[in-house]
Amino acid sequence: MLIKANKRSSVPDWATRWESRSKLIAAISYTFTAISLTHIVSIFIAYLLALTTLFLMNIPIKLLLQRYLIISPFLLLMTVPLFWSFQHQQSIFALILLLKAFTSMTVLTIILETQTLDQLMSGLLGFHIPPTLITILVLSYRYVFLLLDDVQRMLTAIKSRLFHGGIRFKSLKIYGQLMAALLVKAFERSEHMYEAMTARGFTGSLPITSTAIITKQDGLKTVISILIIAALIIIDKRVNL
Amino acid sequence: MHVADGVLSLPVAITTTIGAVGIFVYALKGTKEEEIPKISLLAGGFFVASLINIPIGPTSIHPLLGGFIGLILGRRAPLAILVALLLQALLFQHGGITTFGANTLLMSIPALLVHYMFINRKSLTLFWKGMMSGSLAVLIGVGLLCLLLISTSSYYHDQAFSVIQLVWMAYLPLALIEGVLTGFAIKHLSLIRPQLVKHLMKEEK
Repeated sequence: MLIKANKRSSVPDWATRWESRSKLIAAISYTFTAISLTHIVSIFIAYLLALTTLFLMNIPIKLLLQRYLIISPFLLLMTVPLFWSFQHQQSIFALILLLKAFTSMTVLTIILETQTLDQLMSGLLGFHIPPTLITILVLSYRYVFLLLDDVQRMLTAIKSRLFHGGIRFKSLKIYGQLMAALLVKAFERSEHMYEAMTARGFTGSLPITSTAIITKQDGLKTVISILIIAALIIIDKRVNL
Repeated sequence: MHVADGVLSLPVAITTTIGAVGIFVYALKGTKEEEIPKISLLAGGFFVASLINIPIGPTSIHPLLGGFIGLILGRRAPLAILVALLLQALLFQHGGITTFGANTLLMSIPALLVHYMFINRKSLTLFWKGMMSGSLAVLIGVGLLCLLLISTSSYYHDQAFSVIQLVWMAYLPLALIEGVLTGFAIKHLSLIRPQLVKHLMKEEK
């Protein structure tokens, strides 16, 4: 399982230098606005705007299409019966649903491809969330890569013993045992970690480095995004009249 | 269960986000310092375990593990679920931004319910506790998803062949598989690390 943690070098500076928190605020506001739109024309405009931003940031379209594939099984589940009805209103509803989902995935791709995961995590931590959650999030994030290695090794080991998977009773038993073994490994690591952390004076929260300062340029970029959001809401109201 | 953006309406997305904050505060209340590494690592463990793909013909499924998380972590389950969902969104782009609250609730409510339902069941063996909680967690989650879909639009349920029917058809076999999987996992856990399931065994002979 390959996890890419670095941002793309082809992404322009104005995108990568946009501070994480202000970028997240713009992205979350844009996505919530996109799902609140009711007319297909305004939703299509919102989708085109997100797509244009993605192109301006030099993010490959192939990557975006791969991301669309990730959500497509669930979207198929939600839309097949609607298209199957062969009724105009249901089909429009399904089209709107797809456009909103693709708009959101485009925005998520922009967020993930214009900063490293560490920057994004640091940005998330910059919002005033409880220190306990921050600690859980940071520790899980740090250890998840080790656990991914563990599970890869376990899967390789059972495959080398000619295990082919499937949903037979015996196979499910092996999968269940594999999951239990993985949890035991995680639990044992947590015990060692707690001992090491208490030895270093852990009192329930980790010291976190301060997040980057939001500059005027960052603020300007977020304000422009909010103006675009306001324009989208106005367009939606106008086309509905 | 990864509900994508656009599936739920804005009022439903906002309501579920508020609900998720509520359930998070409930889970967080009274968390002790020594529980934090355990919750963190088990959240990571559940996240990784849910990535194990089980091949079925040309496709594959992956377990949801809501029942498993509920049985092991009890009241703290929503904390692990929230973190695991966030990692899934960041690393694999599963789920959505506006549906993050809904996805948290769809996993957390069944996890808490099965925990309270099965923690004091004297008559059941660990395998059956695991099996029933694994299946029930999926069924409760699907039931909640249907409620959210009905709240969003009547188009999801007012046809002869509706989205709601298709959702049940897709998730019913998964509920059965998840049950068997959780049953075996809990039983195996009791053999190699009984202290992790001690709270489930205390009434057993």
